[in-house]
Amino acid sequence: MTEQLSVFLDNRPGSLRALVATLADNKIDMKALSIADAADYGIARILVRDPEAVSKLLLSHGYVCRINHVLAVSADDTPGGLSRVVDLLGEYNINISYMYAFVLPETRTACAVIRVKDHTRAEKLLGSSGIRLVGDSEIFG
Amino acid sequence: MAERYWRGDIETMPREKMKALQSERLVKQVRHVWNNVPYYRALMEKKGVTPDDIHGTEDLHLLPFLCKDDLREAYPYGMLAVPLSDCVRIQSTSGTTGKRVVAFYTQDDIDLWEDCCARAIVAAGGTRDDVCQVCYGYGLFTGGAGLHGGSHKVGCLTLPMSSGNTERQIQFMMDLGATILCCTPSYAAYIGESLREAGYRPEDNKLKAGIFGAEPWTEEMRREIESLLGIKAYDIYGLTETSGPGVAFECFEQHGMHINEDHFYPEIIDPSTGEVLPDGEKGELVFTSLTKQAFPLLRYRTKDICVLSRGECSCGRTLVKMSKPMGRSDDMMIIRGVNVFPSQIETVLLREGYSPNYRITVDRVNHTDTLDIDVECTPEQFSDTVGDLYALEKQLTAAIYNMLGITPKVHLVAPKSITRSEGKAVRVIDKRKKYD
Repeated sequence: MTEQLSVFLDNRPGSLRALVATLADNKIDMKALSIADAADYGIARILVRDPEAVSKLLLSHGYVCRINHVLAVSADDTPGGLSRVVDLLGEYNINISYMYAFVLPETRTACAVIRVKDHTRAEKLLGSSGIRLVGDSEIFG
Repeated sequence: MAERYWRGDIETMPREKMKALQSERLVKQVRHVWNNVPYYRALMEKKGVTPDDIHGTEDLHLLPFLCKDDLREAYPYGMLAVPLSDCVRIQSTSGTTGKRVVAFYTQDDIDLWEDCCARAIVAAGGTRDDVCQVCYGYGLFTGGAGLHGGSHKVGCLTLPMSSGNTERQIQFMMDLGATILCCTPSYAAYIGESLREAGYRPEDNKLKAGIFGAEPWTEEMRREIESLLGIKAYDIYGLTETSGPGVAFECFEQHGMHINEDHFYPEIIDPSTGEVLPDGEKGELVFTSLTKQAFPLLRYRTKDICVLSRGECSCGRTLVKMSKPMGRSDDMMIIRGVNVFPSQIETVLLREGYSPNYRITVDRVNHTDTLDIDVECTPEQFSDTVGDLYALEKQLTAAIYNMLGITPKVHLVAPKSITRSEGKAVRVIDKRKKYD
């Protein structure tokens, strides 16, 4: 089970810069970053080694943030690699709120980060269908 | 524990006796103004009234009104009723609504004003053993001077902090064990937030009470401040034109403010006709200064909309009570033909769990009024999905529509992105004014 940290950002020049600088100043390495944009604001979603500690740090800097569970799924880095995963979720009527992907540092394989409402159910389902979830050790080395 | 008063004889005076005292003072005051303020004398002459027509408070309605424009016209000395050499102080309005007004005080005027503030501090539980942190602005603004003087009278250890430098406020508050906090409600909320961010829990400070005024605030905001600081929050009312804070103050009932009516005689009028309304009816608050010598305003229209009530109060005070002003007649915005008070919007925001920091922007686009409300997203409300945040905005939009009958555009913004005020908060930007 992977924990993701999300941060509220105003949609204006410089606000991502301030976040990234805060993380850099505190020697925090982001393994993955994705930004959702709405009209007035954005949501930065990041994977960091100790989300609890980073969340505390950001709160103390006046950020609004939240930790939640996401599915980190290893997909073959070949055409159609992702389709088995999304096919399965669709079959069982599990809606994907959002997703993004990055390359795992050690194995150079693709990792899809998927946000669903009922992650426990989704996790069980994927596991029983032989789809491997990526562990923290693979993400953070 | 029995309720304590600063001036028990006045604060619990039987109504009949109070009326006699007010009438006696009014008759004297009208003569003083007639003899010394040509500006007001001319207004009286125009209405065909002389001091001989005024036998008591029942004749007050015969006198002409004064409004802020009169004071601007008479600036600076036109309302002065004593020789300048008898004056020891001036104070001035904050100028939030236009040109400043300057008020003059003799030493007796200062004494009675500070006495009124002392009543407020004692009503909030203050004694000579208290440490009273005054972070209203010092200087021309009456907030700092009034509470400072009241605190001295009561014998509290007074911390004359003035506004601003929140870090230092917190350091003095914690190191010197402040027990009473005096400032604007928006600054109290900001101090509370800053304390929480610095890692303090509400029980870590020694504060027991706060006396907050100089700007409109809602019951929801009161509860927010009370839980942030772990105190009981008391409202205080006043205006520079009558003296400053301390014209009226709350007791532990927190249900309306007792008016120091031995000095400031209140009336409620219909703002459009000027007709005096009976107790319990909503209208514009008008004050007549019964005792002030240097700057004695008769029937001054405050523009504050409120209700007077004369029921018995469980605190034992017989002083008439005024409700929290429901808005100022000049705070009111007309948006798409609907009367809107910022306090209505604040009520909804706090009820829906938002912070008391918000910004209202009114503009006119293609001949239609627009209402935009920026609110800060709180950690409790934040979600990682855009859909959830949209739902949040939609819910707030609907709640405001229910209150006002017009649909605003709600924008979630990052915490701290709305500038905090250390004095009076500027929460409304009306861009339409540039077209008028």
